[in-house]
This record gives sequence, structure tokens and C-alpha cells, in this order.
Amino acid sequence: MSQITKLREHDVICALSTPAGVSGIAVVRVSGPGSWELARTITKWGEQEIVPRQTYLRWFYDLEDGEPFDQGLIVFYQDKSSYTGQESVEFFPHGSPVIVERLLFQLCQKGARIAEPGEFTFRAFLNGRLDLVQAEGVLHVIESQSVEQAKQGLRHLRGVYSQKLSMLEQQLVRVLAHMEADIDFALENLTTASQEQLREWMTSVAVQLDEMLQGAQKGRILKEGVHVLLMGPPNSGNSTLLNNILGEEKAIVSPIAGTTRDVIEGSILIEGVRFYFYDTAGIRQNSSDEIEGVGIKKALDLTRRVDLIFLILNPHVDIHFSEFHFLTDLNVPVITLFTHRDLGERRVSTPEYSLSTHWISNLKSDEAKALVVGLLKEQFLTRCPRDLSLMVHVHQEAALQKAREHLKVAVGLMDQHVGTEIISLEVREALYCIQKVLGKHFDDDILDQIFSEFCIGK
Amino acid sequence: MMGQDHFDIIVVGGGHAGIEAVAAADRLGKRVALVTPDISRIGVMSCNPAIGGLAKGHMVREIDVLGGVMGLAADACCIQFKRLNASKGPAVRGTRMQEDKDLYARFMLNYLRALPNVTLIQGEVKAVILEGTRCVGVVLHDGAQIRSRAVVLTTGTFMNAIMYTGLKGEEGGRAGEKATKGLSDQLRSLGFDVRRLKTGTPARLDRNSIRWEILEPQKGDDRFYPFSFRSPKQVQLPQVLCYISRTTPETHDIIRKNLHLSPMFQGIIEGVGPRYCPSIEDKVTRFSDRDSHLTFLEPEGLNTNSIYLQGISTSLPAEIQDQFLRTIPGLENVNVLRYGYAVEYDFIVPTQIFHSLETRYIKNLFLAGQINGTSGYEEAAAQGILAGINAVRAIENKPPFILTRDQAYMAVLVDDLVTKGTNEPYRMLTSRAEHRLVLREDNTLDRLGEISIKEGLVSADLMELILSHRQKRERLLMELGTHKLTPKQWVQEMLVAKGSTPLLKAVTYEEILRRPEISWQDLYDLGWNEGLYEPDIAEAVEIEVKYSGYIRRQNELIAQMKRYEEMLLPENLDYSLVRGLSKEEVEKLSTVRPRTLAQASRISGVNPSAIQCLMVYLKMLGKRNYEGSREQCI
Repeated sequence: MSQITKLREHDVICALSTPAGVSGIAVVRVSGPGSWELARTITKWGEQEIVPRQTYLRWFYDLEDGEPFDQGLIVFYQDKSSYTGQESVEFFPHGSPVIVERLLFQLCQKGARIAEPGEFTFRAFLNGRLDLVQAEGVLHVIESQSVEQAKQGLRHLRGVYSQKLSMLEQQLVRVLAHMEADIDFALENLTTASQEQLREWMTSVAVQLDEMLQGAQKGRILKEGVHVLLMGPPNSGNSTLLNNILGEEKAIVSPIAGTTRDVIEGSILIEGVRFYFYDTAGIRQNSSDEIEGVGIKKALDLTRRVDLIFLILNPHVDIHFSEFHFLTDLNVPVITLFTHRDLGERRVSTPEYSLSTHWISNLKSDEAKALVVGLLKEQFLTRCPRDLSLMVHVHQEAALQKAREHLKVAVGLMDQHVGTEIISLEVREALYCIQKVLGKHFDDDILDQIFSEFCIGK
Repeated sequence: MMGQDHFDIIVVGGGHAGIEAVAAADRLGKRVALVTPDISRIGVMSCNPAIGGLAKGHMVREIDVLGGVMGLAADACCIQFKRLNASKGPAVRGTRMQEDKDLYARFMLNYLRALPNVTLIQGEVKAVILEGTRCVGVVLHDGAQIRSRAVVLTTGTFMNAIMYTGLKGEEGGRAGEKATKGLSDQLRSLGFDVRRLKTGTPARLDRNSIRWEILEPQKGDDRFYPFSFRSPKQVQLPQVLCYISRTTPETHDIIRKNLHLSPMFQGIIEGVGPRYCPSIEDKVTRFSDRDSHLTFLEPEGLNTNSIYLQGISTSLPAEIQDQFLRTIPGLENVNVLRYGYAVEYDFIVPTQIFHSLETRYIKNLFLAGQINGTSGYEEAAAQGILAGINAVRAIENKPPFILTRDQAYMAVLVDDLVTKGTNEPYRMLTSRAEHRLVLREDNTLDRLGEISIKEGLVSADLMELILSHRQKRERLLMELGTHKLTPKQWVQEMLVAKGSTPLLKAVTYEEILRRPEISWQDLYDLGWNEGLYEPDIAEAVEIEVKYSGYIRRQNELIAQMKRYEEMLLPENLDYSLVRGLSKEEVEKLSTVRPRTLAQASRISGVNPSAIQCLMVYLKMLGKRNYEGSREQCI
């Protein structure tokens, strides 16, 4: 969004607030001084007094030919009670692209203009209706692709996240207060917190930041989905398992080793979170097939970018554990699935790079799918307490990480008996980082970034 | 007074602010009159018997480098010397000197009498004389007028002052001295926002009635560092001991039972008192879980029996003071020479003055000291010197002399006052200075010396001293960086003995000194023998070495802030047009009229989101102007 249009906040702006496409009802939002008058014109309102926040059923007119083109609900908002903090109107026309476009066209004919991405929320922020963290939450709700993700956004919007951070802010302010009092009131013989106490307080904030950052990781998972790689030696059954999980024949399955050459992808929702699965070429060292070789390389590249790897092995054929030894060096959890349990559980030691091993009889069975889903739930959905799984934006995450680093340095300096005035410098910086996320520390970069990320309508 | 008497500058008030204002104007060659109700009371220390302390000591040195008097007087009359926070980091060490109060006041009077351009006038100022919106002199209580081209008001706690010992108030600005009437009423009628503040002082005790033998004595430091670069390096008076005692549960009982007799608790005093210097009534009620508070018994001089009871300021009735004082160990039979009292007085809300300390509404009228809502001798003196300098600049039609927050504590003081105003008597603290690591006592000359010479406040000879210090520091730094310490057996043992770690290879002494646990003194034990350096040089270098990384980082932060310091806000900006500002913010911004975005961000009650809105608005203004000019081209 260009800075210039964003700042013309006295314009009347309008936009479709619901997704483009066909739907039962669409929402078109109008905001800015003069919105009411505009709506009166388009609905040929007459003299009736408008009661804010009340729904009216009205015809929407094309002012060229004077004919109505749709009938729908309309709601008026006063500046104090609207989303943007400005005089606003919401139209609820039928959700046909033709009707919506016609309504927007009529509005623009009468002096409104189409809103820039994020402009409604920008106005809400400017008018003090949202704080920065809440404003970012809106973005999350809009961009969310799954239920859980939308919930996260809403939670964010309600300020849970702000509250938690404000608490940490308070704790650091307390640490600083004690440090500064100790310096500035040396004569007064104050009983300020001991070094051990300060150390404990700072460590506690650092731990809480750690938890939030773990939550952040989970938040990212919710936003972007979880990426799972299925791999194994050729002909181990990855493709069969993939098709079973997805419930459709995505991958070609054949008894010929090396059938899967390219990466096959598909996704399902588990408890509202999107999981992406990748099936890759079977890994073998000495593939003479050039295309297969490219596939193997792709699979290896993927191992560095996914959140979890299922390694599928048939213990009844020779296993070359060494072929997968490279997994040890990856920072990705690996779960080993041994197939052909029905042929008997051979004693096979768990590979050292594997988090856990599980036995499956039939890769096509519901049991196999249930096992995989259960493992994924355990790994990604249950471990993290829900209230910690707070959405954190990338720049917020960076700021919190920085805050934690500063605190760690502060604690380190304290152990080296460095002067309080230096340690307080670190704590202060940690505090700034947190305040930055809370929108309390002014820095124009945050604003620019946030508002360039917003999508239209909200 | 002769109506035709014409001065360049009139300074009203002979306290710590007035003295510095007069002396600064004199140094700059102006004819100055100091008008005060009682010439014999010039330079009196009305409250505690000490000069300096954390952040305050820093300001005394700053005043000194600008050619001020306070440091010289304090050095000459010092009867106990202490370096505060000596065990903490060097940036937050502060010098505090206890003074012989009589000698201190006498020093000041003699100093002013010796100044060639100064006239001392005894009289009470009732009003200032205005020509349009310009201040051109003062009217005395007898109606006499004294004309001048600029006026500096340093009336301290005297404007409409009422003193309380118990519920009954009596007019007066200080024990035994009358209040100043009329002046603040005139200022109020001119549109100034005038409010009330309160401060208090403890009882003075008779030295001969105290059981010293049961009290714990406290000694000053052996090593003396004078405030002034012009003072001798040794103390000039015999040094005294202070003593410690504590209040008891009985003390607190008596105070609690008699709170209804305290004017503060009866709501008779409406002025706000200083939070960092609470009365004993306050301490007892606010920290009711504590059954004892420390108190220091400090002699007020060498030739007086008066003992100052630090920490027990009170405005309870005299008989109650007698009662509770006698429950403090050592004071069982104490005789009170003067009872503690509270004083409530008028001050001018300081957001109504510029950084130059000139008022916004009246030209050539300057305010300095407690009239601006500050507390403390040093805060007053710092404003006095700046007001004196700026009064001279005003009548010479020169731009004001304004220091920045990264240059001096004085600048932090003034910027805070004019930006944030104050709700309580403002005291300087090191934590108020975001550039604390740079604003140190040891580098005051370096920070302000050249500016002071350029301003004509000190002789250009000072440059030699600045340069010689600089050279010595550089030489010492170079030597530390070249001489190496090798990991010999005894070196390793010595390092371990000092709580440090053994060497892995030969390192320079600079690197060793960088270790937090190794001090400059330790270097001598580690074989350092490269000549002798004055302690202040060595200390400055030690700080440089130990803290250079942090100082660099702080400098980077300062540089970042400068960006906002450089974003100027238009003088005629209509804040009500800026969307997103609350009513309160519009009001505050319109009153303070900050010069820069950075200053706006320091106004209390103006939220960061408001700063963002302002930034957006500024950008918008820029764009509009740009768009406007483009449209014209088309």
C-alpha cells in the first residue's frame, strides 16, 4: 500500500470484506466521514431517522437508471462504535461477484474509493481502536487457512498476548527499579533486592520468554501448517501410506522399486491444523537411473525443510541403516515405522537418529492411518499447552529472542560481578525489545511492516 | 533604590541558583544586580549540610567547568568527603561533601562581593516591570523600581510560602525569614500556571545533649577529590565524624498516635512533597511493616553545636517532636535547637519555560531553581548558571545556550523540566540520564571544557589543562596497550588470588584491566610499573578500557535517538488536526510545544502510539507539500 493513499484518512473508502467469489451473503464495508450520506443516496433512504447499529432491509439502486439491482441488509455505525473509529456503513448484498462489483462501482461513483490493503485496520489503529498487537491479530484472522489458526488470531486480538507480554514488561520494570534504586539511593540504605533475587527475577522472565518462543513456533506451525516427509528405501511403501493418509490415489504404487521419482504432495486437516505430506523417491546410494537420482536429491533437500520425517523400513529385508545416517545431523525429528509386523516383529534396534519406532502390519489399513495421525497429534498438537500457543509474528519473534539474549547476557554479567549500571543497560534493552512488540516504543519500521502485510477489507 | 539605576541583568534571590546566575553574568561582563531580602543570608544552606551526591555531584562538576562557584565553595568548606558507590561501576560514582554551613555562606558572600560587575541590593521584590511582553526590571516592596534588560527569578521556596510545625501555619519561606508576597500573584495574573509544592526539613539538635558514646560513628573517605579543577587537591578544614542511630517502635507509636496533628495528614498542606525524601510521618505510615528507620546525625559545621538529623524530616508539633526524638537511642535527653517544619510554596509549572529557561510568555524573564519545581542545591545552581548565561545571550540577541542530554546532567534536568513538567520537587537521579555511561564525573572537563572556553565562561588557559589530561590519558592507554604480562607462575597465582583466571598466553595490561574483577590498583600487584599517574587520570583510563564496548553501544543508541532529535515539529503545528491523539495528548503537546519528535516522546502522558501518529502526520505533511507542488507543475 502506498504511504500517500494510506494517509488520506478523510476519504470514504469501501471494500468487500468477505472473500471474493460466490457466497450467500457478502459484506461490503464503507468508512469515512460522509459514509452515511453515501448509503442514504444508494438506498434512496428518504427522511427516516437512522438508528445506529440497527439492521435495515433496503433496496440498493443503480443511480444511472434509477433501478434497484439487489436487496439486502444495511447497518450504520457512529464513529465511536465502528471498527475504524469513523462513521461507517456495512452493506450485506447477495454474494454474487456481479452484484458486489456493481455496489462497489456505485459507491465509487458517489465519491468513495476502494480501500488499500489494511486501510480499515490502519484507521482503526490511528483512531485508537486497536493497539499494535491487536492490529496484527486481525491480520492473522484474515489470513488464516484453518479453524485453529483463526482461533489463534482471535485470541491475539483479545489481547491475551499483550497481557502476557505486559506482565513480563512489568517484571523487568521491577528489576530495573531495584537496580536503579540501588545506584541512585546509595546513601539511603535501602533494602533493594539482592543479586540472587535479581538474578532469579531475570531468569524467570527469560524462561517465560522461552516458553512464549516455543509457543511462537507452534503458532507458526498453526499458521503455515506442518510439513511431514515420508521416506525410506525404494519400495518400502511410502506411496502406499501417503495414499492411505490422504484417502486418494495421489501416488502411483507398483511393486517396482523406484516407481516414485518426483515429490508427491497432499494435505489433510487434523484438529483444524493443516498437515502437508511429501512422498519422495526411495533413497538408495547407487541408483543408476538419472531421473531417480534427481528425485533422491530432491528428497534429501526436503529433509532440511520439513517439521517431521517418517522413515519407513521393512525389517524383513536387508536394512542399510547407514544410508540414513545423515539424519543424525538434521535438526528434524525422525520417527521410524517398521512395516510387515504380521510377518513377526524382528528384533531390530532403534536407529539412533530416531525419536521412536513403531510397528505396522499393513500400510493400507485404517490402523496405519490412525497411528500416523496419533503420532502427529502427539508431536504437534498436544505437547504445547493451548494458552501458550500464541501467534507470534516473525519480527516479534526476533524481538523476543533478542530480549531473551539480553537477559542472558545480563545474568552472565552479574555472575562476573560487572557493575549494575552496565547490567541495567542490558535489562533496559530487553525491556525495549518487549515494549517494541507491545507497540510502546516508537519505531516507524514496525508500522510500515505491519500495514504492508494487511489484506483488503480488514 | 534609585529609579534611574540601570543594570543589564537583575537576579532576584541570593540562593544557590541566584549566586550562579549573578556570577555567570559577571563573567560574561554584564552589570548585574542581585536583589535579596537579606544580604547576610546569601548562600545559606537551608536544609541538609551536604553538597553533591549521586547525579548531584556530577552537576556540581559541570557547573564548575562552566566557571561556576558551587564547587569552589564546597571544596573550601568540606568537613567530610565521600565517594558514593565506590564499590559500584565508575560511571555511577558520585562525590558528596559535607559542609561547614556558615563558612559556605560566608565564602559565597565574599565571592560575590569581590566580583567587579556585581551590585548587591537588599530588598524584597513585589513585581516585575513589563514593557509589552518584555521584562525590564523589578519593583521593590517600597515601590522603588530597578530597571534592567533582563530579569532572572530565583525565589526558591519563598513565594507565598507557609511554614508548618503542627497544624498552625505561619507565613515564611525559611526559619526566621519572611515569605515573598505578590510576585507569584502577578505571574498568575499574567497567565502563568502557578501551583503548590511542599518540602520539609528535620529538627536541629544541640550537640551537647546527645549521648555520642553509644552511637556508631561514620568516617569520610581518606582520599579527597575536589569538585573544582581550580581547587587545591587537599581538604582545607578538619574533617568530622557523622553518627548513625535508628528510630524505635516507640518512636513510630508516638508518630502514629499524633498523625492527626500533622498538617500533611490533615490535608492542610495541598502541595505535593518529594517522594524520595519523605517525612518520618510518611515513612511510618507507608512502610508500616518496618519497626525502625535509619537516621544520620550530621554536624552542621566546625564552630556550631547544631546537629542535622538526616532522614527525620517532620512537620509535627514541637512537643510531639520532643517526645518522639527522645525515643531514638542517643537522643534520650536531647535539646532541640530548631524544630523540623514543612514549607509549602508556589512554583511555576516549568513546561511554561523554554530550554533557555526564559518564560514562554514574557521575554527576557528567566526562571531558575525551586521556582521551577526542583529540589536541591545542585539542581538550583545548575539552572542558575544556565539562566545567567542565557539572560546575557538574550540581551545580546544571540541564540540561546542549550546543552543536549548526551552532554550534561544539567541538560537532562532542563529538558525534563520543560518537557515533562513535574508533580513533585524534581531531584536529579542518574537513572534519568539515558546516556549515563557517558555522563561521568571523571570526564566533565572533556565534555564541557571546550564549550565553556568558547562561551567565554572560563579562561582559555583551561585548554592547556584539558589537553594535558587528554595527552596523559592517551599515553597511559598506549602504554597499557603495549606492555605485556606473561603467564609466569607468580602472575598466574596472583590472578587466581584476585579471583581472576590464569593466562593462556601473554596479554597486554589493557586486556587484563578489561577483566571486570581486575582494578587499576591490581595492576601494580601484577607488575605494572610504568610511571605514576594522577588518580583521576588512571580512573578515567580504567573506565575507558573497561567500558569502551558499552560506551560504544550506548553511543550507537544515542545516534539512533538523534534521528528523532532531528525530526523537527513545526512551531505552529495544530495538534488537534493530528488524528489518533487523545484529548489529553493534544493538550499536553500544545502546552509543551516540543521542538523535536524525540522531545515529544519524552512528554509524560504522550503515548508511543501518539508519536507514531505524529510521525505519520509529519510524513503526510511532507507528501502533501510534495503533491501540492507537483500539481502546480502540471
